[in-house]
Amino acid sequence: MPKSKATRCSEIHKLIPAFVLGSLEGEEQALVLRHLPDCPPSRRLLEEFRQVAEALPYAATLQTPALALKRRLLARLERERLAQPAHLWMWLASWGRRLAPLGPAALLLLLGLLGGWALSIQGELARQSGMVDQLFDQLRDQQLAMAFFTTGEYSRIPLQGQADAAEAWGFLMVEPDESVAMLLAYKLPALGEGQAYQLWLIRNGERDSGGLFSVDASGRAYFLFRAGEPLGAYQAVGVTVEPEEGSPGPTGPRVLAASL
Amino acid sequence: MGCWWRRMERDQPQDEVLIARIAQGEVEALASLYDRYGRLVYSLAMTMLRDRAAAEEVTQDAFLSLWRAAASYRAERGRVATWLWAIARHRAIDELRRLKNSQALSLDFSPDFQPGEVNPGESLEDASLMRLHVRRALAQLHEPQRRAIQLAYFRGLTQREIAEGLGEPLGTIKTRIRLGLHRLKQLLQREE
Repeated sequence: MPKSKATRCSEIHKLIPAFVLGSLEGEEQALVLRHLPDCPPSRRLLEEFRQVAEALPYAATLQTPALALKRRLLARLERERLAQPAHLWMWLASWGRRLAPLGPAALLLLLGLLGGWALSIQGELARQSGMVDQLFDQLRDQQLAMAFFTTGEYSRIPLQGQADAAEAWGFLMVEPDESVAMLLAYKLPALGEGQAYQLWLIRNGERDSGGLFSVDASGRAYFLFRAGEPLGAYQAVGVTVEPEEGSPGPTGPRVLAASL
Repeated sequence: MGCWWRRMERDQPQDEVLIARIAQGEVEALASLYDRYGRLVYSLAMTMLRDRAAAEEVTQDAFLSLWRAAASYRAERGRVATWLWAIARHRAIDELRRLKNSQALSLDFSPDFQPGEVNPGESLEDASLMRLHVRRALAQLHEPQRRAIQLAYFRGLTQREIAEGLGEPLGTIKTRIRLGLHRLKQLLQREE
């Protein structure tokens, strides 16, 4: 016996939540797609659940991409824009009109010179662009550090000096929900030639490197670091002395430690 | 849906103006849209892929796709932000599926959806407020329901794949997703 429309609607309504999440397969997905055009109540329900699904990206832990990403994106867009046939044609036509009165040989010579000049400018721009990227990243770090000090929306976790640096102390300023934190440390021993301090984030006995830092003449360090996961995912942190290029895991003496 | 949803809708007219300018080839308009949504798109990609380089690639691809297809955007088919997220999510799912072919299927996905502390009356950016509402609602779901929804949305798994991965009956997973999303809808409506 064929199913009544009400029965069919009821079945479809059960599938709509999974449909908006994209987790239906083959026949069930086709069933929903076939049913929707002729059923306004099902379309209303779909719209309600679609709004719920559209809210889910907001559940993602907020993270900040490198500033260089925007620069790379915009540079690529600019290249695409200029590479469009309409733009290239306009560019060539414009130069053609200007150089035509000089004759073919002059035109070729000038085009060659222009090409060489453009290549040298391009190299210089790439070099300067790299420097600007670095400066932007440093600026962002400074802005983040200032935000830590001014917003007050962080936890302050004390860092204890360990056997090899009993006088050292400091604290971490962390937002458990975020992956960025600030380490402030005092009275750390001076580092030897070719050495650096390395921060470790500890989770279930495994250690992720949080990066390398050094200290000033008074043993002070301010270090903004980014973890691979939100800080709330880690149980502890430690700081060890390592070669200046860093180590895949702790090898030197531990100087600071804290429980998160 | 609620006041939080109306906030999301509020930005739409400005977004549509930007999309129209992008369709005319204005890089500055794309830069403005990136400033508005770049962080959210990247966060979604990072949550799904958990790899900075891959998340940056997906973010860049999402905005490039939007740049190339801006002329075909139709407001009646959805918000600009939704379009952007859909592109990013599908691109991230492609990447997850590519990885799945070379690795064991990973169901290790348990982001912290605790809502965190917010002071009453505190002035928050709208995006932060929406984030709070959604995370608070998710945190109130039963854990198995929340996990099923997370795996479907953020890992791009079908109900069958979730059932197989978790070793649960398919019917159980279907029920969790259905009831979980119903509950989530109710919780978000309460934010009115």
